[in-house]
Amino acid sequence: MIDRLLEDFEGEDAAVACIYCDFYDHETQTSANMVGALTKQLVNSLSIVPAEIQEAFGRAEHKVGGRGLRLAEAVKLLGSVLAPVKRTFICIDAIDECSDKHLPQLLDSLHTVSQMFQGIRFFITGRPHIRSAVEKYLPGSIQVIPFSPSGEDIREYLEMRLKHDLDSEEMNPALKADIMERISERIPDVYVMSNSIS
Amino acid sequence: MDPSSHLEPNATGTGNINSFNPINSHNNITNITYVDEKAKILNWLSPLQPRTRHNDVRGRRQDGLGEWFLQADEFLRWRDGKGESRKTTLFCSGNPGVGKTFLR
Repeated sequence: MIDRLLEDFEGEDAAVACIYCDFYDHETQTSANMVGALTKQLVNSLSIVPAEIQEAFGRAEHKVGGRGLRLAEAVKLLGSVLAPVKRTFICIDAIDECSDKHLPQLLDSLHTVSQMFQGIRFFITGRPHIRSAVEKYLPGSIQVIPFSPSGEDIREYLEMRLKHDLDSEEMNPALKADIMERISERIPDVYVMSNSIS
Repeated sequence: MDPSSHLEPNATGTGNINSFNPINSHNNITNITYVDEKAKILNWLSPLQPRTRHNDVRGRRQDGLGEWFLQADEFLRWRDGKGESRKTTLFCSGNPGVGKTFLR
C-alpha cells in the first residue's frame, strides 16, 4: 500500500507515513512513540527540520537528563509537519496488535489531527473485531473492505512456496498439480494454516 | 519562438567556479554537523523504525498480491477523496495471514 501510494503521488505534494503494530513490542510501541514515528518519517523526507521541531527538541534536551516526547506534544508536532502538505496518507498495519493501553490514545490522536487538516487519510489493517474500536474513535469516516486473497493470489503464493521447497527432489509435476488443485479448492482455511506453520 | 531564447544569458559555464572556494568547504562542515543534529532529533521523535520494517516487508512481498483491492472503487475513492460521503479511513479487515500487510 505504501509503495503504491508513493508511486501514485510521485512528484505531487503528498506524503506517506506508516506504523507496524506488533504484539511483541508493546514496551516501545507507546502512543507517543507511534505518533512520534509518523512525525519522524515526515521530517526525514524534508531537507530541513522545521523550526518548531528543532525548538521542541532544544527545550527537551536542556531538561535534566533530557526527556522523551510526551503524547500531547507529539500530536502537536505531527500537526506542524502535516500543515503544509496537501495530502498525507497514514498507514497503520495490524492495529489489533497495538496494546489496549495505547490503542485509544493512538486513535484519539489520529482523530485530532484529522480534524485539523482536510487532506489526511488513514489506511488501517486489522482483524475484523477491532473495527468497532476504530469506528468509535474515527466516527462516520470509515470505509471497510474485507480482505481475502483471490484465487490467483493463492495460486501464485503456492507456486512461490513450492519453488522454494527444500525437499524439491520429492516434487514432480503430478504432485504439484495435485497440491495446487486441492489447496485452491479450500482456499480460506488453507491460506491461514499455511501462514501459521511457516 | 526561438528555443535558444530560453537559455539563461549567463550560462557560460563559469558559474560553477564557486563550488571550489573555501566558503563551500566550510558549508560542508556545517552540513555534517547538521546531519548529525537531524539524526538526534529523529531519534528523539521516536525510537521506532517503521521504515526498516517496511523494507523487510517489501523484500518478502509477492508481486501482484491483492491487485483486486488496489483496483477497487472503494480504494480509489478513498485515495482521491471522492464520493458522496468522503471517507477518510479505509479499514482493511481480515484475519492474520491473509496478506493484508503485503498489499503492494
